[in-house]
Amino acid sequence: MSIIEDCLRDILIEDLFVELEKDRILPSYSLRQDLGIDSLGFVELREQVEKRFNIAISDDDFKPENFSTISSLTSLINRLCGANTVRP
Amino acid sequence: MSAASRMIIDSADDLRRRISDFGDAPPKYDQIFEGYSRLALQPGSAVVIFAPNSVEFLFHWLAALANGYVPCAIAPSTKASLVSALQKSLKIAAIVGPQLDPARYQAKHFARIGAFYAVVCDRTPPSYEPFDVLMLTTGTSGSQTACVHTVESLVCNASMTNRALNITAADKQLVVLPMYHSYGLITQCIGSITSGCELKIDGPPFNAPRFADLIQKERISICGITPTIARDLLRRGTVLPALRSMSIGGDRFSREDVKSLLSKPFFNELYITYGLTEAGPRVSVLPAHIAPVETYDSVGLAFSGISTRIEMPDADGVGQLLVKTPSVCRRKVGGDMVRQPFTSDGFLETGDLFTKDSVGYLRYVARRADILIVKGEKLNTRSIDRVAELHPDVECARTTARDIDSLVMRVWAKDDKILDLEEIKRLVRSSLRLHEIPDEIVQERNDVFHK
Repeated sequence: MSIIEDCLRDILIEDLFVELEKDRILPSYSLRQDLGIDSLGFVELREQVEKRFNIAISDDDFKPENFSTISSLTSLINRLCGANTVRP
Repeated sequence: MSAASRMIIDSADDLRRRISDFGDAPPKYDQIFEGYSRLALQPGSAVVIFAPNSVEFLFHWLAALANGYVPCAIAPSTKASLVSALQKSLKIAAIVGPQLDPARYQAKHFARIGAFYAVVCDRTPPSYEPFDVLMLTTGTSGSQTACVHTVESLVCNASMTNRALNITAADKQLVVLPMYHSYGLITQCIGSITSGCELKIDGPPFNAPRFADLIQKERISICGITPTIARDLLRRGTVLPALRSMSIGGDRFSREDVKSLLSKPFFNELYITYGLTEAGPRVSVLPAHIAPVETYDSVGLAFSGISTRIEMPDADGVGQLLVKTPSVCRRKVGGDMVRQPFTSDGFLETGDLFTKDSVGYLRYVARRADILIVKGEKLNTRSIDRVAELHPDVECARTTARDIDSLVMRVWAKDDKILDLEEIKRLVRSSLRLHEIPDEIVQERNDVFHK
């Protein structure tokens, strides 16, 4: 579990009130299917990721492919920040 | 079993050919059907299904129905505490969804049905009949109430909508709105089953570029969106591929909004509709692309076969809209229901204030709940909201009573701007009477795509 993935799990629990224990949220879980994130939840998730990682997520990047799992969202954050330079 | 129920249940065999989403291939319908059979619930038992938009969700909904259970779709983000409250108020027998924790529902065991989990929580005699359907109205009433519909009433309403919007088997429909709401589930999904058209299911996050891309790549011909999404598309100047038909739930859609949409070359047919879950849900439609300009501020005429009247209109002709429709719900359940919302002559009380002109065009004025008595004065909170919405940076405003003597207004900004609340206060002070001025104005975070 990377630092980014760990931070994303914190966001899901603290800000989106996902009702799973932290260690049960796997990087491969579907944010929609397994964690029940809905439209408002994705808006909140985008805001929190932008705030915590100090990045801007464009409308073009705010799409299911990038927000499907913790892993895919981690890849997006890495791309926007520059790989291996993320300090959440 | 009625012909309508048989048609909906039998459609499952054909759905894989006509309905798809963007996820992994769903489990076979037969496996899901057998999974529900193994729950061995009594016919008429209510089953909550909370899942995101997907083909698999639709399979679960149909399989529960086909087993004689009563499906009740709810938002996938619904918290366990609310599900537990629903379980009691609606007498739910089983709960189905991804990543269920049986302990949260005082159950020790779970069953696997497709990719979802199911827990049986109550085997007491059911309160419903086979082929009933529960549709929550929580989103609009704020309490845990639901409408008890029949499959027949839902098929009836979906068919009326298909006829009014000319939806046929030649179309391909895109679902972007939640399938646990009546529009997505009944108007679009059941509507697609009854018309024979293709259905593409998408889910959040919604964004304009992807929406445009999907319409192009999937060769979508019809779609439905909310007024908020429509305004957002206009504000962003989004260019869409040509759509044969776009429909928008329009009770709070203005004449200017309609004109702006009609000015876009990609909407060949634009339909402004009005409905409510209790009615099945659609009631009226304005085919704006062929309607007179003076009707752009209306939600059109009631569907053929639906009667409407205004209850006790005031001097301006404003009163509660009453609706008599063959697709009305059987009854409402849950919450603090003290009486059913029906008149003695069978009209549904919508709780919405409307006018109806001599031709029959219906114009939305406010929710009846928008009428408040504050500081001893009657006021319409929507009229207060509209003043704040004149501010160029305000997306929308909602005014509510904080107590019997004060109002609070919540405002949402366009494009996540930081609003100058003093400027908005000056605007409302300059336009409203003393008792109508909110005592406090607060900025809320942007929730553009929330219904």
